Amino acid sequence: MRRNRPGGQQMHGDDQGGNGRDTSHNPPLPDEVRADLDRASRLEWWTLFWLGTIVIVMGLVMGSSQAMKAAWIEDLLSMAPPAMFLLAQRWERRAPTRRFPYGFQRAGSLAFFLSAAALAAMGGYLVYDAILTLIKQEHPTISSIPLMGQEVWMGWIMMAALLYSVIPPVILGHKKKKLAAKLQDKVLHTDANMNAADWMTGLAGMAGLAGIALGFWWADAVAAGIIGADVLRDGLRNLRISTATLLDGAPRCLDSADIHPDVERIRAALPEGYHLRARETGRYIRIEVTQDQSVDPGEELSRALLDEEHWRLVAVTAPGAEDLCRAIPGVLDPDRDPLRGVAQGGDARQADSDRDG
Amino acid sequence: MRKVVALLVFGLLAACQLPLDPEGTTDRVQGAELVVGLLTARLGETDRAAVAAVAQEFDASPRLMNAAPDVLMAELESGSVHLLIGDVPSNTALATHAAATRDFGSVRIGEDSHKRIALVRTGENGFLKRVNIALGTPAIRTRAATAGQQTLDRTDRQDAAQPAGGAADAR
Repeated sequence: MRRNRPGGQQMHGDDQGGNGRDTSHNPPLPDEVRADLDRASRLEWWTLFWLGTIVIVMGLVMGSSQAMKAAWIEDLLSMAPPAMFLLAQRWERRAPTRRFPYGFQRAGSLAFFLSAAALAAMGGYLVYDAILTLIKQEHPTISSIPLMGQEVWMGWIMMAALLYSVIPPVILGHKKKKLAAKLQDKVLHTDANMNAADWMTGLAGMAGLAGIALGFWWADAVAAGIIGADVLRDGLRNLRISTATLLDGAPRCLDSADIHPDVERIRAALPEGYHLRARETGRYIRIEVTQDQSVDPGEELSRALLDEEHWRLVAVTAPGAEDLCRAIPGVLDPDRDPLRGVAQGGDARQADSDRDG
Repeated sequence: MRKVVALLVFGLLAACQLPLDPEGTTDRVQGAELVVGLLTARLGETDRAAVAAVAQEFDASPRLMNAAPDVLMAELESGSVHLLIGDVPSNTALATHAAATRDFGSVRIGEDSHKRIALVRTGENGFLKRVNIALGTPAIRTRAATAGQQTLDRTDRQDAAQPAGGAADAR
């Protein structure tokens, strides 16, 4: 049985802020923020271009070095966050639809989660592969090629490629890091961090190759393991933050799983007796302020709205509880307010949420 | 500035001596014996020239060894054999357990023509580089280009009479 649920498109109106603007559809951004977003987009396009050249160069000289393979995979994966950022930026500005009444602002969160999952999976694989190589004592073979009349060991060419692979991302990473803080954009921040830390990957890869050159067969696998562990660490940290965001957790800091200080600032500004719940949709914060902490609609109202499926309705927020009661036949009991406990105003859909934000 | 230049020159000179072999194949072969495993009953002209060039590069005497491919592979992996040769195409399945040298000429398998290679022990990068230098000499390249599909009898016919499972040396 298909039923109209409370909320839905009506929520657009509920989302009207005090100044009457529609905050659910394309929240207006200050000119400065918009300019920063445009700049971030341009940087991400440049990142994709440079990473593309790096992936091609590294792929051409990769050979059978495990450290090179790990660095190449990391560079390939580094293309995910900028691509996700650009996609998310397009999606988050889309208007809400009947099927997605809250809009697409969380496209960024989803993108963040996906890139974190990819990072964690690939990091885990690289570590596993490196350990396996060490256990099996596989000796990496790096051949040589004739170049300008000389037989040149490919390891030197790989080192040159690794050196090239760290320069553009490190420069772009530092530029993006500043913008990420201004825009409070986690995807951009993750991307910037990965880029800025690329020199470590390059250094580890070069150390692995230098080890091979000196006859230490294990150096390559150790370097690959270090790179893999770094990728895994990034992936797991980002998974933790992105999962919290997708689970309607309180807004988190850019670079840690700690709750963002802005939440405390809002809470401190509220008069006594008001309760705050805050969550994050992409780069935006949504808060719900109630006087009564409960948003339980009560069984009577739930049954009137959903019959047998009343158990699914766990939270209702309404602009005017009495008006809503009168509008629903069979609910109003003049002596009893069925909407007792229903939050007044706001945008609450979660029943069990962290009351502390 | 002088120190930087000196350091760069030193680095380049040192780099010329690299890479080294983890298992020391170069040191064992240099001025001593190059053990060559034969993967074919008949050694072609190109392969013979390649063996001679590699032996000359290391100032070593070639010792040919005939046995079944799996035995030769095991010997290569243990370091008893230094070079596997004999109509080895570049897409050989053996390359998963051995390192391929640079190509020198072509080898015809059925209707298809493939690049001709030899195999050395994995990870012995210094040795492989020297082998590649030997196989890249103009004499080998010219011979490989003109050799065609002509094959020569193996140097020692007595080796061909040896049972496939048993390793037999031929000098």
